[in-house]
Amino acid sequence: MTVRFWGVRGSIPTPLSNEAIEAKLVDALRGAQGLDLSDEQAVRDYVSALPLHMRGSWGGNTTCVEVRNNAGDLLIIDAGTGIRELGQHLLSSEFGKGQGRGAIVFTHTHWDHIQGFPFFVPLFIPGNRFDLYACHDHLEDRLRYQQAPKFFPATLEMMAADKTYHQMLPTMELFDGRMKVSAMEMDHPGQAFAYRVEADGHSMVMATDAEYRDLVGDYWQKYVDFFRSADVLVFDAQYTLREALVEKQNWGHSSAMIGIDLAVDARVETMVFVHHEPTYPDDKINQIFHDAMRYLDRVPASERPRVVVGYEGMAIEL
Amino acid sequence: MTTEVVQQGPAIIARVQGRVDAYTSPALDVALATLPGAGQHLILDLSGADYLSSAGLRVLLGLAKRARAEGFQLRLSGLGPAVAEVLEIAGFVPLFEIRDTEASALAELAAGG
Repeated sequence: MTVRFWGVRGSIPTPLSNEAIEAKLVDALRGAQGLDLSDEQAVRDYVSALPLHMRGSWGGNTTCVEVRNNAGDLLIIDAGTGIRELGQHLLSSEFGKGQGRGAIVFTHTHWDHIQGFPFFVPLFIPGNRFDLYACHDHLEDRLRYQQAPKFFPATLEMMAADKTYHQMLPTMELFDGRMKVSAMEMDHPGQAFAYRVEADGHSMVMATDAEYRDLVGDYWQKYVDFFRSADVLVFDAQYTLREALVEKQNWGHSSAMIGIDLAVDARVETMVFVHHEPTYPDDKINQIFHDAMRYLDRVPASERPRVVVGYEGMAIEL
Repeated sequence: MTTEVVQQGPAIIARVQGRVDAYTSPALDVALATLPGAGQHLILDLSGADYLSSAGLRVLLGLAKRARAEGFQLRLSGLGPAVAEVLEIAGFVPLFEIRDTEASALAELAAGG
């Protein structure tokens, strides 16, 4: 199984501002003082050794994750703006020739999870086949509404690929049984659903857009059980704990600290923080990650999950 | 996790021992639910607490909210380095009156603090 991240930002696309780019350049140049960077290779080596939040960005596109099993079946989770770039990438494969087959499953239909859908080029190519799944009802109507002429020039009907809409069941087998997907409702305004994807003896859980209103008892345990022993847990860590529990209570998102507690209890192998807060610059997200690592340090080493910050282009091979 | 409750002067002191996490914090919540009594203040001494998870922080947060709503004074005392660091990471330090020791918290409350 391969899990690839095309959009990790929460709520709204977040391009880097000129000020943010300038600040990264200043930091990089200050760090280079005293180094011999007289040839291009030395410059390249220096830049590539910088941490991602300094030489680049975690990413500004909203939620889109690609999951492939070993057979190469394509499952896309959410159609945030990250799906546009995924679509471009797919054009060099059978999807560019109208011979592709894939599935898209939606955690929910808030804008940041569907906004890239009208820009997903493989859907415009006749011959491609997509199965579209959501736990919410009327998925087709929701997508059509987004592309009504008053909002967007290309209607849903202009997307010429074969599209079949499915009501997601608690557990479904996709691709002739080569992939199993289970759903669980999460606490989020308007409902959102987490998905556990299993294939080839591996599992990943996509648990974005979720608030944890209680951190104990049966409420807590149901999430621990759903996440249990996942190879990868993709987790909504949009807020700090204080924001999640105090300042932005009921906004439908969570924090890295809660995620770590869940991942430890569920014996998750790797946890990926996503749905980064759009008002947070890259270095703030990096700081949140380092704070989370300090929090994780108190856990015995044998019980710690691997924890990473999700970024555009990141791929995890299982 | 255990909670020992004693009264000293104007304050109820609740001494927490052990690990406060998703599985033990409900017991702490119950132990604190009726504290302090009318006209009393509360010191939550965490010198015996060796682990505090987000669930434990949530109990502390609920206590702080109740202190504001019910008008009693709340002090946290005796935070070891691990517990203090968790409060700092969570950004909770400004939400609490934190004192080094149970004795200093008690002296302050006894003096009308």
